[in-house]
Amino acid sequence: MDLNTQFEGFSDNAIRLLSAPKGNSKLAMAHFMAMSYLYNSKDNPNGYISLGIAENVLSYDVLKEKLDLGMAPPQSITQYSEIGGIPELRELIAEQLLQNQVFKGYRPPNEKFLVKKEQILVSGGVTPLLENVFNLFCNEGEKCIIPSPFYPSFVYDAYQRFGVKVIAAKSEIFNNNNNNNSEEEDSEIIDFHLDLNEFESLYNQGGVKMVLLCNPNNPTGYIFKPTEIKKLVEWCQKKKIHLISDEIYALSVFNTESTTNQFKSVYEILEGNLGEYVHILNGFSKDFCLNGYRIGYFYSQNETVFQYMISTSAFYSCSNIAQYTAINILKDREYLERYIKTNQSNLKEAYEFASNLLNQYSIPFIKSSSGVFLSLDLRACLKCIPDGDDHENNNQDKFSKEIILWEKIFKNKVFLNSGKLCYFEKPGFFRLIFTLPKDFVEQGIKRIANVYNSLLK
Amino acid sequence: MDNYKSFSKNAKKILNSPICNNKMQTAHYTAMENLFCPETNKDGYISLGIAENILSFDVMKDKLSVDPNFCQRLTQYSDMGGFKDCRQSIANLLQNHLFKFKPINNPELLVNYKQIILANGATPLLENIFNMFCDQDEVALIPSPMFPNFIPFAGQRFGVKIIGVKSEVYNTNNNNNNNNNNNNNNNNNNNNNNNNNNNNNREIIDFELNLEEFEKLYQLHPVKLIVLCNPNNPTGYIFSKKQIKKLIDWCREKKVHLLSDEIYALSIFNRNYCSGTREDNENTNNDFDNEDDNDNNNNEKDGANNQIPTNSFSSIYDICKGDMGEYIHLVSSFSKDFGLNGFRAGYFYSQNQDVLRYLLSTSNYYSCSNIVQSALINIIEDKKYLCSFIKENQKRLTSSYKFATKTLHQFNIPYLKSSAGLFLTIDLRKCLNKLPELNNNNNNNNNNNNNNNNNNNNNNNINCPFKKEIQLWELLFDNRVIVNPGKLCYFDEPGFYRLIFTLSNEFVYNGIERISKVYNQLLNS
Repeated sequence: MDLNTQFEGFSDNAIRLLSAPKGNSKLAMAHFMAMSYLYNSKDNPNGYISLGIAENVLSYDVLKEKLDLGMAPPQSITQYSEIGGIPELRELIAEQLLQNQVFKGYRPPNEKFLVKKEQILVSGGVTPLLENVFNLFCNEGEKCIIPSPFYPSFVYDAYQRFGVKVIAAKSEIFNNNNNNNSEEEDSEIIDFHLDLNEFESLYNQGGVKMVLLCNPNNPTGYIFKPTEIKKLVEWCQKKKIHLISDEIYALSVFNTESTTNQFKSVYEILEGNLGEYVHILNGFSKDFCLNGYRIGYFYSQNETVFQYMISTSAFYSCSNIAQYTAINILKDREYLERYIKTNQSNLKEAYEFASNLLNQYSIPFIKSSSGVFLSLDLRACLKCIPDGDDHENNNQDKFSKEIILWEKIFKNKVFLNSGKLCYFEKPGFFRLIFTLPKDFVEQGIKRIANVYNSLLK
Repeated sequence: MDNYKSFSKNAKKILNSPICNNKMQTAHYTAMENLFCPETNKDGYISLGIAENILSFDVMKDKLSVDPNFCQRLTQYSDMGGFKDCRQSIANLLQNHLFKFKPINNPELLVNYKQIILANGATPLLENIFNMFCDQDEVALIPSPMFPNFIPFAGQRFGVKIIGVKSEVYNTNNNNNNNNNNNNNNNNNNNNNNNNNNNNNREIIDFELNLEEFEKLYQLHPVKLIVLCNPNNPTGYIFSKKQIKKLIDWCREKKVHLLSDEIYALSIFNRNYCSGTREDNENTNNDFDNEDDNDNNNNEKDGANNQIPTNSFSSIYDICKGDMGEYIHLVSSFSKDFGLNGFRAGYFYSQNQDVLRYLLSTSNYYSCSNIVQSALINIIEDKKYLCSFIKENQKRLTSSYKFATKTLHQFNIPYLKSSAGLFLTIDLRKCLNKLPELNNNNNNNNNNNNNNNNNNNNNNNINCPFKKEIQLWELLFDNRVIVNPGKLCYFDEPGFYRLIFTLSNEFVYNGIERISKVYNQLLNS
């Protein structure tokens, strides 16, 4: 079917989407292939190991007891619940989850900045919330700045239906302190930062309407410095552009070294006064390993912003069953704290397990402080990939060798996310999820090591 | 305060648009906080405004309390479009319970799980479908009266316009038809009629899909989509198969997509319904070219306009004999037929691969919670249970409908015969003129909510006739009963209100009694 009749009757939006070059279709196919032939130590030792999906399955056993809603669900569970979320849940999120846990019990000197349930909106996952936030501040073609490397889906969430563009503000600091020198491919990433010069220069290109900060960060697990965040907020306020703080990994922090930054929510950094321009996104997918349930929430002190989000909330309502489950989890304060602690300790253990293995195989990686992942630095073996292998005809694409490396790793039955999608500045970085059973992680790293080390030889 | 200067055009539009049923919303909240209870709160509000069916929860309950398939997998990411199992279950539900036609000679027309897309409710699915076919300011045609929320679904974030296609068929000439004579209503009726300059006395005797209307509007506007809600909200009317077939042909000829919203397909309570369950099907493949079944034996009492026919329901799949092709699509959900609106579970079915691909690739904006998917499988995979649930639910719907109409008759309140859904339409036109005249303070909320109203009504006068409808609505609310005003549904004339009867008999009785107090008091004044 030719293009003219194939999309007969479709809107421009839809045609644009369907016609877009399928940039990561290879990735998608690989993912499906992996999922349909998964590794199992007994039954399918040759199966695929996916270390690509940012899920945390470590603490299910602790979570389980609160997932069972009991023998007699009330009828109200089947009926329409309140717009914005069940009031009990909004209250629990405001007080138990945000004020006491994510904000670590911080209480601002001025009481009016305590989190109120009327400022909380519950949604069916963070993704549709995000999409709607992009739409709230940006017209089609307008831009959102996001420090890179970042979570790849931000780009699609902004662009797919509302045509908003994401532009990357590079945040890597290489140890030769000279980001412009692209010859030095192997200089280590020693830190990340929010470079206001970078933001300013991007802003001056025009069309910027908002900034999105994911902290703790995906894919690196990095925690941004509170002082830098404060400066960024001030910059946004001066420019009168909005800042969204995506804190979805706030409770998945497992600082292992004292040199890493301590997580502080933007709420704490601003002493509770978010003001007009700062808003917080979060959800139950990562910290509570409930990505399948689809529970997200939005917190803002800006009434107009909130009014917009809630008046369009019919498009992302949260299922009652999921809400009841969330209530179940949050209302038992002792349980909640125990769960968070246990989860963090599981994360730490899993991180240490993975990082020890990586060290054993001499695979470099960026130290992570949080989240369910770390970023591998496989740049050393990129050089070992001959130029001729570049079938993709993309000699200009500096990531072409990264793709080849990704394919080699996938051929060896491991699925990873490539750094290109995360807008890493330099090619050769891959995101690895370590929140899986140990034998998966062990096998996976072993197979990566095979590829990596055999290339180096 | 910057307010929203820095917001997008889309957002500003939403924030600026007067919330046309603001009054309704506030009323709703007020009511919810002070609900009627026969023992403890006799003065509380009775809302007959929310289209929910609570009648069959006890039959559903056991399936909800224990999910035998609960497992860790549910907490993790599901597949786009839904778990294969759940999509397969819904495919089975469609093929075996909603559809009667069996494509024996064309097995490729059997419902395949890949043609099903799950969502967290029909709402976001509908929004995305509007967006899929229509650019901003393009148009979708929908027969009116219609489900009011189609308008914000289409317009809020994507700026798609809805135009209602009037479907009321009137008996314009006859003030003395049998219905009025049988109607033991006030004798003042005829006097009122004589005083009227409007057509307040014409009776709705049918609804139709008038292709001339469709064609006219198609010529005038950039029409990209037709949405047919069948059985219809708010009337509970089931459209004629013949007319639907003609509409399908017209759409295909114009290359305009048609979406069949069949969210009430299993909520049919007229005695002559086709339940779609195997046991009830005798001539599965034969009877689509026949006349629509017309139940003249329906012994509905006065108060009902008996001239409104009772058509039998067939899904659009059946009308297309299984071959829906590129342009015909189906949307539905578990909210109404199964009373599971709180779960948020909607689905889409189409045979158009590109449409499916689009909806799938944007499905992460409306993914259905896994725990819900699992609960659904538990419900619909148990064939025996499913059949008995559908039958029992329909039985209760029928019985509730009968109770409501009996009560309406008892209180002399006219209504339009309904064949399906959770509602019927009451006709309070006669007392509109008896309302006291008000000054104009109340116009604010009504003035400009018609930005989206491209109805054929005379826009200049739109406030006048419907003003009284709102005024009456407020009187009813003051009397602690809520029904939805017809204006929101794009009824052609003011004075019609949608009444939900899928509540306990006590609620329904008390609610109707309160309506009657206002209505009959006005009539007798």
